[in-house]
Amino acid sequence: MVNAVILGAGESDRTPLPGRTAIDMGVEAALGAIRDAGLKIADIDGVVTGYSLAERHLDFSADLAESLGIRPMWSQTNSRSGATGSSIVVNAALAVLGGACTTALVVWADNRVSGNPDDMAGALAASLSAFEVASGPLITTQYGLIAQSYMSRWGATAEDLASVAVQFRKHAGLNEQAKYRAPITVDDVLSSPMASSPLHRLECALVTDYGGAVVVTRSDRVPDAHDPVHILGFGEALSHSSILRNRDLFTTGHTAAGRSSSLAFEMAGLGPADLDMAQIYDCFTITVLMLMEDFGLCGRGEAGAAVRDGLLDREGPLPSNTNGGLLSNASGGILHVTEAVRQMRGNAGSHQLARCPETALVHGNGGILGAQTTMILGRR
Amino acid sequence: MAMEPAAELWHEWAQGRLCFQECDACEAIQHPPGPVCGTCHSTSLHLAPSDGHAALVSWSTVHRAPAPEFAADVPYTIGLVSLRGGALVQARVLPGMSPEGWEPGLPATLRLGEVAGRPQPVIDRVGG
Repeated sequence: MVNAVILGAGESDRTPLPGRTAIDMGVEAALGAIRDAGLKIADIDGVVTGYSLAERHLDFSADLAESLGIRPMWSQTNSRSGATGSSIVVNAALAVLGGACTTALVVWADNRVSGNPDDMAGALAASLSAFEVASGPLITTQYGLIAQSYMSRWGATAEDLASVAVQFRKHAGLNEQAKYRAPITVDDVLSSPMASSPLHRLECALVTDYGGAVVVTRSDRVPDAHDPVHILGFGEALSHSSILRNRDLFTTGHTAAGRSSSLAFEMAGLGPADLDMAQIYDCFTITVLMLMEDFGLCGRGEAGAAVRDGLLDREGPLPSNTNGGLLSNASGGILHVTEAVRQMRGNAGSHQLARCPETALVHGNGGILGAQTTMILGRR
Repeated sequence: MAMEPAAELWHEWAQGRLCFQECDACEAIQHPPGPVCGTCHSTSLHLAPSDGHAALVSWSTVHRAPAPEFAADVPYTIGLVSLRGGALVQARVLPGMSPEGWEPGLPATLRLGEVAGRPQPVIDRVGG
């Protein structure tokens, strides 16, 4: 059966530089991905990109394509909040399978530090409804409301949540590119300043520059001797824009990731027990715990205990966020994708897992647990 | 011409009338308000008065203001409460009330107040 495949991955340098643009980092990541795919720029006939929070583009994909000297037959810019990094890969898979193009370049880059932080604050505030903003919440507050509810429902503790940050920091320690690498303890997390209760500063995603890219084509177009990563399944689902319109978050605690992951597993013909690795969108510690339960990696209310028992450890049953994730490595959900591809192809460098994963789940979450995108990747 | 539902609701609150959007067809309370009922997809909705009776769902205490107009209030607690039928309202908890010992399901009361100079519902009682 024909499916979409990822031929290569690239990441830009993330050191903030005065005047460094999102396009600069997008181009650097794109050139890396095209090189890793064994292709030339001229082979690219489709371009799909994410959006920039720090920089204005009416159509980011057009500005990126032009910078690369490409006139693609298919291009689009996707804005699905944090889920964008995974969603643009799904867009590319649909485009190559549907015949809109043959070889799609997928890029998400943003200069969130080098760019204008005032513009970024305004862009983030636009993600909440006026009826939320009026009470004075941070984005962290909206996740904090969900975290407080989760803790009340299941008796989960602050230590359960903090253990997610501790786990991913451990992984970042081996990643030479990660922003924060020094080990931390649960006590360190819980003694970091409270951002919006119950979430502490060390439970929140970093804000960094980033650029990540992959190249997607069809499995029947893979160049000879190339070693691709197959997109075996994907699924997307959207439950809400405002958390006020989705009471499930506070009753059952379920998100639309249950649906997106079910669709992806079904298409792949695999289940949670078949996974060798996971790259889970980790904008906050609570996000990881709830998504784990929606994927069926553990029972409801059991995710904290599973993390403390080492489920997600790089030497455990399901190595996850092996680059340190959004919590310790860098911003940008596209890096969950590039990390998965690198680990599966055995070129993750200093933090390569001892055994290259044969299967992986990659998941993006957007908005306040509203937009969900799941992919199941495999080596055949 | 009728006002857009959100503008109409802000206007009612500014006039001192606590109300929320209600569907003419299925009677669901909907918040934030919109042109279509999210429960039954009717496009016929109106603003209905509220007695402010609600139940506590969750809360979070903010330690860093998201914008200058909230800076003087830090730290402050934001509560999430449910109205009849489950519609959720997010509102500032009045100063002096501590979340210590709070749990979901406690009775809570909304009344009109002001946050950063803007009239809106606030939570003035939780429990008891």
